[in-house]
Amino acid sequence: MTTISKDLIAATSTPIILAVLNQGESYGYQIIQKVKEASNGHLQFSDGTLYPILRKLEDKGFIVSEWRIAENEKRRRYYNITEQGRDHFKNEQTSWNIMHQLIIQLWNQPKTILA
Amino acid sequence: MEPTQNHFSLTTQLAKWQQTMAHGSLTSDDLTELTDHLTEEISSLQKAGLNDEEAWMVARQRIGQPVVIEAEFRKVNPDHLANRNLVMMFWGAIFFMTLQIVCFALPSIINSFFRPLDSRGFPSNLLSATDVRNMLYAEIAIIAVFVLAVVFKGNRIVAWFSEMIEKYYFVCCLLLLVASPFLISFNDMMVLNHLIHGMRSVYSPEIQTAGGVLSFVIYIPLIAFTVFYTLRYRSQDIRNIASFAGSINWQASLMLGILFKLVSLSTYSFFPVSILNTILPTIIFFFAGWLMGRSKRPWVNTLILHSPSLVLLPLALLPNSVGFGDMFNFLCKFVLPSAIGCTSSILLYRKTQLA
Repeated sequence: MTTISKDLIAATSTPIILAVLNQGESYGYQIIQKVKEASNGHLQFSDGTLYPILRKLEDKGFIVSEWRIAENEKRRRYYNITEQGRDHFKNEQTSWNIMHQLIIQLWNQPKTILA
Repeated sequence: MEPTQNHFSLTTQLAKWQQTMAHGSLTSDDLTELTDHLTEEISSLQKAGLNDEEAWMVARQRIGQPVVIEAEFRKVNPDHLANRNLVMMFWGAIFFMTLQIVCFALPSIINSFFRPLDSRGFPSNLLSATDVRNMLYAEIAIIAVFVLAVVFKGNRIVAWFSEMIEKYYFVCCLLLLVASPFLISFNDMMVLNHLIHGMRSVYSPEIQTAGGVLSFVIYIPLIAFTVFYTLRYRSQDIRNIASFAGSINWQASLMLGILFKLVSLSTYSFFPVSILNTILPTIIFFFAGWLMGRSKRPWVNTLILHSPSLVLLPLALLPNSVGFGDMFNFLCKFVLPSAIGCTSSILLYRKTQLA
C-alpha cells in the first residue's frame, strides 16, 4: 500500500477536517474514523496529533468547540464549522481543484511536448 | 496456563498514560479529550473481539507516541509547561504562608484565649515549656503528614491541583484575594514575634512600621503574581500585561478591584497619615486605569473595579483609629484618589488612541 508522506498529510489536514465538519457537528474520534474510512486506510498518522490542528483551526475562527455530556455520560468536546470556516473551505476547494487539474494535465501530457 | 489478561488492568494502564501526558504541554481539557478518544478506540476494538491487553496495545499505537503528541501540542500551547511551573511555585509560596499560620500564629492565638491579656491586648505570660513542647509535637505531626503525602502521592497531588486550579480558577483567585488581608497580617513577622515571644516591648513603633512596609512589599506582589499566573495558566491568550489587559472581563475587574483596594488600604495602616495616603492610591489606580482602558468594556469594568469600596463602606463609620472616622474622610482620602487616578488614565489612553 502506498503511504502518503507526512508533508502531504500536513498540507491537506485543514481542508480535510473542514470537509468533515462541513457535513455536520462531530467530535475528535468520529472525525478520524470518517477520514480513515474515506481514505480506505491510505492515510496513516498518529490520531493524537489531530487535536492540536483542531486548536489551530479554532484559533483562526474556522471552527468552534463546545463541551457537552456525551451518551457515555462523560464530557465530550464537539466541533462545528463557522461561517468564516465555510468561506475558507470554499476557497480551499477552488485551490485544490486547480492544483488537481494542473497535476492531472501535466501527468497526462505526452512526453514529446514536454521535451 | 493462566491467561495474561488476569495480570493486565486497563484502568491502571490508562491512569499511567494520563499521568505521563499530564506532565507536558496538554491542558486538562486536552487530556480529557484525548482520554475520551482512547477509551472510544479501546471499546470499539473490544467489540471487534480483542481482549483488554490487545485493545490497549492497538489503541495506544493508533493514538501515537506520547513524545509525538507532546511535540504537536507544544506548538499550540507553547507557554503551558513554563506556566504550570510558575503557578505551582506561586501557589507553593501561598501554601507555605498558610502553613506558617497553622504552625505559628494559630497556636499562639488559641493560647492567648486562655491567658489574661494586658492593656495592649497581648497575653501577659510567655508560653510555658509544656505549651511549646505540645506545639512541637503537633507541628511534627502536620509536617510528617505532608512529607508522607508528597512522597507517596506527589504525582497525584500535582495532577489534581493543576486540574483544580484550571477548572476553579476564578473561585481560587477570589478566595486568595479575600483571604489575603488575613494571610498577610498573620504572616507579618512583627505580629508573629509579638504573639510567640511576647517581645512587644523590644520593638519601637518605627521598627514595627518598617516591618509592616516590609510585608506589604513582599506579600502583596506575591499574591498579585499568583493571581496573574493562575489566570494566565487558564487562558493561553494572556502572554503579557498588555494582552492580559485586552482580555479583562468583569471577573478579572473584580479581582483587580479587591487587590488594588487592598493595596491602597494597606498604605493607611503602614504609613502614618500623610500625603502618601492620597498619592499612592492615585498612582496604583492610574495603573488600574491603564489596564481598564485597554479592555473591551472599559467603563463597565471600571465600575466593577471600584465596587469593593462598597464592602469597605463600614470603615467610613468606624472611629478614626480603626476606620476613617466619617464619610467625608472616606470619600476624600480613599474613594476619590482611586477614582481620579483611574479615570484620568483611561481618558489619557482614549485621547492618545484618537490622536
